[in-house]
Amino acid sequence: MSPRRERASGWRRFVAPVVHRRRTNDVGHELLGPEQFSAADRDATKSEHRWVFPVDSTEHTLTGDLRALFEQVRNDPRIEKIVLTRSRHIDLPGTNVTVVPLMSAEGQRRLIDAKTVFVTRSLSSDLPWPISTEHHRVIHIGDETPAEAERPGYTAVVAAGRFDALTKVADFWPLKFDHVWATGMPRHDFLTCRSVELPDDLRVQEDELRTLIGDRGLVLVLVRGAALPDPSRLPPQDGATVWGVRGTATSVFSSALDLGTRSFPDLEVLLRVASMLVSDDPARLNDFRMLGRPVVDLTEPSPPSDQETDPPRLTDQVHHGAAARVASRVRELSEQAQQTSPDR
Amino acid sequence: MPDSLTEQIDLIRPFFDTEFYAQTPDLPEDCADLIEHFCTTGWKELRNPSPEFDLWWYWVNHLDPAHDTVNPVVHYALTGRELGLSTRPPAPSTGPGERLPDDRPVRRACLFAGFDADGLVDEAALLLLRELSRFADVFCLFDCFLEPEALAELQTVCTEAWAIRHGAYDFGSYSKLASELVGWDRLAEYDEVLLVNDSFYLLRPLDDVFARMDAQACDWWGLQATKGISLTRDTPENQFQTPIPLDRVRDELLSDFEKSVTYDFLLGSYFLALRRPVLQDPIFRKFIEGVVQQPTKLLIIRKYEIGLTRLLIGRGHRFATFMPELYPFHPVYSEWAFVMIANGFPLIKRYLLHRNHYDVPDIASWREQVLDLLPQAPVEVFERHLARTAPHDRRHRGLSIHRGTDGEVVVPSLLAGTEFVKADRAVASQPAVWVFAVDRSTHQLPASSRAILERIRGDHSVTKIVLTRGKQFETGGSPDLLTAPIRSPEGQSHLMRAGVVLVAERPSWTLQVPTHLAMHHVVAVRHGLRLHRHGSTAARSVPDEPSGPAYPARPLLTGILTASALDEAEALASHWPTPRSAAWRTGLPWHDLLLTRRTPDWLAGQEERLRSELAGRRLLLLLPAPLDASGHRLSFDAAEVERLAAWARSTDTVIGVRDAAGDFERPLASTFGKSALDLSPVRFPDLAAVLRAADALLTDHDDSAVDFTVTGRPVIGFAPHVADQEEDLLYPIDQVFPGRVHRDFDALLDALEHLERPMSPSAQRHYEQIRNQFVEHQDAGATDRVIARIRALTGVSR
Repeated sequence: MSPRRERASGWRRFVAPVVHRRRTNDVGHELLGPEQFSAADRDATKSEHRWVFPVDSTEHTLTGDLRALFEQVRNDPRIEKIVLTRSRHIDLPGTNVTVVPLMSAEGQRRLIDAKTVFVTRSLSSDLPWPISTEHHRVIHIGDETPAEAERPGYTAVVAAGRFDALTKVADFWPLKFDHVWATGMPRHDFLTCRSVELPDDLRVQEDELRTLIGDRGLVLVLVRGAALPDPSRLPPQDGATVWGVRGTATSVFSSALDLGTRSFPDLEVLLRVASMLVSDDPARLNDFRMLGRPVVDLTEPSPPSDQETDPPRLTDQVHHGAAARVASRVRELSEQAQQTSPDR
Repeated sequence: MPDSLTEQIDLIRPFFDTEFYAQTPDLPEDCADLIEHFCTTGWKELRNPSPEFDLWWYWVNHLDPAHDTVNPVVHYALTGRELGLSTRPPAPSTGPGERLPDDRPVRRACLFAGFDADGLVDEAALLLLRELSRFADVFCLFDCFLEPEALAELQTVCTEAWAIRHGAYDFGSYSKLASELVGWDRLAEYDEVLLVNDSFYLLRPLDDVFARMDAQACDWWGLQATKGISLTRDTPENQFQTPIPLDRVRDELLSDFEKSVTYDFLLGSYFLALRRPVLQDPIFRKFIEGVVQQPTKLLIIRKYEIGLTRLLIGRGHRFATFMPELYPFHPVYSEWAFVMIANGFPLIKRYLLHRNHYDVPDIASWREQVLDLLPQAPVEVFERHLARTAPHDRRHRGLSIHRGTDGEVVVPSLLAGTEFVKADRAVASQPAVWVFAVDRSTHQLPASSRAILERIRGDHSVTKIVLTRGKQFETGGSPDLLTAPIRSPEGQSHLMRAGVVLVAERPSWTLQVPTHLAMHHVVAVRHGLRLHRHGSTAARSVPDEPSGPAYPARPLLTGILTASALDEAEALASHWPTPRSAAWRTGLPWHDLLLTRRTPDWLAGQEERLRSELAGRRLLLLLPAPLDASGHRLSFDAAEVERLAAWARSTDTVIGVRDAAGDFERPLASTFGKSALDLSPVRFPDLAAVLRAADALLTDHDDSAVDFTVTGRPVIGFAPHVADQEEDLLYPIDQVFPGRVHRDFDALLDALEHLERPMSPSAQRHYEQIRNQFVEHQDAGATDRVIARIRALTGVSR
């Protein structure tokens, strides 16, 4: 089953912010406190085929890597998908999919019973409960490096490729090289696939964005910190170019299109359409470099005036199918575990 | 054959004597199920299942001794018993023995097995070969590459000589000579065939040996017999203290020897003579033809050295020895060696002089002891050979064993593991004592360590200590530059007081003791940039278990030298568990050696010698990557060599080939012959000297390809099988290789034809991109930055 498509802005139905309310079937069940949670987690038998996808802890959406991985297994009946939501309503139909609030007794129970948990930032950031890496298979799929105290215990960390894998070994110290999967990041599948292969809601966003910019090339200004770009260094907005801004630079680029998360939850859609990226986000810059498109890297000193974009550098290359490779590695771990522990 | 272990165990059980098997030496302590141990590993280690079943006897007589796919006991249970095959030698009994003709000169051949890690034929070996050639047609096979001149000289001394790497030691050479190079038919023309290797120094002429032995009736003979090996040293039967007449051994004791749990009687296989009854014995021929590489030295000894003696005795061939008595335990490696020499024994074993593994006291005075007995012995020749070939550290240990004033033998002892840690804690480390440890594989200082050492050689505020292994390090007389073997009490003592320890890569591998960062600053200088996975990034057939909640992660390094962000990521990943805070982005001092205009003094000799051999011509250096699991390596066929040589002639270029250190086959030097200059580590130990002189580098994917970019000179790739090798590489090769990686020879030759032209702009951009990403500093200042960093760390200022 796929999301309904009603009109151009119909995607909003899937991500419209709602005030979370406990589900009716949770009535009578109290949330476990941290100690109770740990005790229950320790005692519970884990389901090898239950995969937990918590939404992003800031935006409360399921986008990027986890969304791409979810799409890969969405209709696989062997895998039970648990989407743990926060403030936004998430409607992701599929086979053997359960969408349940994170802050609910049922959410806790589903989490406790699941062997595999994916995180994009860190365990404590993505999940408010004391998840034991001893009992769960925790797989990091993202670009944020957890604080040092939280690094030990990941079963695996997913990397964009061989270059990224080496960097992530140090980022996730004391993780070993064998535990970094150079499969490619699942979100890259959203950058390389054809429009018709995108999930419906992403395709709707892309159609809307292309309608907005028309025939103009999009210079995407994606800034998280204080390093604002000098507008005079960018290609001017004219009939051929339009600026689109997401993040903290909206005040400087008041004449630019607002491409914020409310309008376009899935950043990959913006990256697909943009012809140039101006950013201080190393991961997104790297995504764009991997696509072979020009970037203005705000984390680096300004390049010489005759060079508008940063010099070429060694980066991983995008190989479509990362989500499938990650899913396959997780399945392998499940199969190995079942072979060595048939009772579980 | 039954596949399942259970089936095998059931078949073997009737022939398995648990009590007997439990007596076989060196069983693992945790070996709970003896019959299972036998079925899985024991039979391949030649552990007999019962006194009634001698594995090797059965194997050689009834199976193929070259293959270990069939457990002989399983074979016996399934087939052999029904056929009535013998499971052990019959009771010793021999005939009268073969007499050599006395009406004509004895026709004698010698199959000689040689080896030289440097590809040379030493004067010591030539002395022996010349002496042997007085009595025999000598057919010689060296189990290694030999320099063309060395092989040519050998061919003037011997009837025929070959240099072929097979890796199966002396018996491998005997086998190849007998069955392939000379052939049984040709050997059948001789009355006697000697099997001789080069594991000894000949002290006196062999006239007495042949005069005495020619008169003896026997089917085979050796110079002396031995009862006992290291494994069986402590068994009661090997505790005899006085020589036993050989007649008594042959007539009375042989049947007792058969009762040993591990058979350990042998005639020294370094010098054996075989007469027609043996040479024509089909089982003997099968034994020789079945010699193959073995996984351990012990198996070589048990299968081939002891195995041959037992086979020939079991086959009823009468033996004799030149020494008329059986001397106590391993006499060629004990003080009895000198007693035997006094009694006419013609040789001394090399291993006694450089390893002294049975701790003979005062071996340091071996020359004097020999000269007292044989004033004409050419001991200086042997001393020169030892100086060139003997591992310095082991020899140092062997020579230091002496008899104390109380008569006890004093043997240097080393601290291991926790013993060392405990002692280390009790010694205050001194910030101004810097230890430079040689690499465990090459026994040389890593180039970066050498660059650092030479920069501070004249700095008297720092005591420099070089910890050595097989090669000696010349201090040049500097008072504050000391050396000692890593594996020596002095070396360990230096290590304990070291404030700074510089190692190539892994400290525990290099130093063989744990070094705690609370006591020492341990810095990995690394060999250079890397394209290949190694250390903790090495490809494993079975990856580590998923990480789990917490695993010990005690950093082992204070610092690790890196050249760039990319290099740092690789260095940290390959040296787990080193945290990012330990990465020193100083650059690699070894790059300074390639970047400095003036050659450092210690390298200058090698570089000048190479430039003199080049005589103004350009140098294309062929540098193969080490052999990897795929088995592919940089190689060319004869036609390709000819085309490369023609290209070199037409462009006034010299092709230089540098086979990997420790590669005794030297495949490139062998293939190119006189079409290339041999630049192997034996001739030019320091790669930096060779790279400085190279105008271009051709490699499959050696790590040095990226190091060489600091010179700005071209790098060409040739790797037809690189697709099979991707798994061993850290990166996609085409992305990080500084030049094009050619997959076919024509494309390579085309690239060489264009070598003189400047690189295209896109090729230049690619080259610079690689260089800049791998090496951030290209200023020859890495050595100074590292020294400054260490000084800041230790508070030692100049």
